[in-house]
Amino acid sequence: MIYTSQALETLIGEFSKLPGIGRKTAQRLALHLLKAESEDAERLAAAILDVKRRIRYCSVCLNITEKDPCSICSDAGRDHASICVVEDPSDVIALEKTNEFHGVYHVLGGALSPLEGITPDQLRVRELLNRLRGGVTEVILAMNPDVEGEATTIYLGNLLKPLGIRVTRIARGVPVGGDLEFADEATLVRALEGRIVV
Amino acid sequence: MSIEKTEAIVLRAVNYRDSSKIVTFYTKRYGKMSAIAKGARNPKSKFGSLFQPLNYLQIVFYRRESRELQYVSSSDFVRYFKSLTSDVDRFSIAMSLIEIINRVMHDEEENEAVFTLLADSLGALDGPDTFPRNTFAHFGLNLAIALGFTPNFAECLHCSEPIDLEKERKVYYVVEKGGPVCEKCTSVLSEGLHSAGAFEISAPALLILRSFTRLTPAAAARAQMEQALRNEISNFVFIYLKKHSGTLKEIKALKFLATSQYDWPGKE
Repeated sequence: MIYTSQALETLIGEFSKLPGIGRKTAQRLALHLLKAESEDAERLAAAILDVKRRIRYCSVCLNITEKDPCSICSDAGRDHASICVVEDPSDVIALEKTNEFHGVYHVLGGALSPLEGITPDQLRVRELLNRLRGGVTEVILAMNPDVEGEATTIYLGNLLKPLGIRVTRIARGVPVGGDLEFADEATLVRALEGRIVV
Repeated sequence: MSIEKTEAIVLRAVNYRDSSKIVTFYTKRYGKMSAIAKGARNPKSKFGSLFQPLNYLQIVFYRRESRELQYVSSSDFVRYFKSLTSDVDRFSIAMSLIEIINRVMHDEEENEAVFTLLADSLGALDGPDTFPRNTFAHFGLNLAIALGFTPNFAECLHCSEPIDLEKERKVYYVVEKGGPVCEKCTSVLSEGLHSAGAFEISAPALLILRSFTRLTPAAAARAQMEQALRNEISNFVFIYLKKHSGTLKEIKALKFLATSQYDWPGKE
């Protein structure tokens, strides 16, 4: 035992299992908690347990939620004929912040990755296909603009087009506030491909 | 520490901390190497979308021999392969080429012939009217040759007589020894051939493979042949490379290709 307390050792061990947390950071976090008020530590423990007990996946869109279906899927004011397909729940948060999209979402749970061997059966593709039976008119593919996102977009595009549904993808190109001079060829090619009439 | 410049093809990129990436390159001058690209995930980063697998770049980096991870200071496209992501077949084969390089090549083992083969093969895949599976077979075969495992398509392993592939219909090929067995010797050896790990391959397939050792990636990518032959030569190259490289057990990108023909409810 490096530390004089088994409890401290256990806490450091648990913190260091978290992504991006090394042993040194884990030690700093544990020592911080040791100095904190007991109520603060209890609130943190309760919040962790609460997340584990109350949060589940929405049975419709597979986003994280406390009630099933989630608040977006159960909102009658939203356009249920338009589904925006994203990789992760964090993408739903990012798109919701824009207040521009009024349809519903489908969370795939990742992206296809030829290099990592992640195939369609490991994502929630079948659940998406099952949703398309209910009067959906447009599927918007909002994947990250990287190779995995590209693979997923190509794959889903090929899969969905024969079903007679309008399949679109979000635009790719120069970021707002960016500078054309410093944009790379790949970004500029995609930006030119996605140009629109003004 | 020195500042170096080299052409490089991105094999892999993983996120590092909040805004950086660790990128694995196959470079012209230093072979396979990894480097940190600080701030590469920032939307307004000067690196933009450069550090994506399959990109053919010129990189400038700080090199220290004792360090496993170098630092990339700047980068630019040498050539942007625009069509590699246009369909699943092309994309999966392109990814399989960089996966093979990542698994077969060792760190900092310079091999300009392999770099040129990879760059030209990706360039061929990017071209119009090409067959991605031809490129896979051509690349794998010529990679084996560049690594010193040249297959023999000319003489019988057993009697050393030249094999006339125009006259033969099917031959046995002993992958481990890298050579075919003529029809006459096949009847003599029979059982021994199977225990030596020999498998049957059609003479036209061997003829195509023989021609692929002389063709450029661009010419091989356009070669017309029946799909069955394409599958046969690709299968041969995969088995051959797997046997001789020692580090290639499976190609995940090809597994992806095989499973991407997905059924959907109500599909006729």
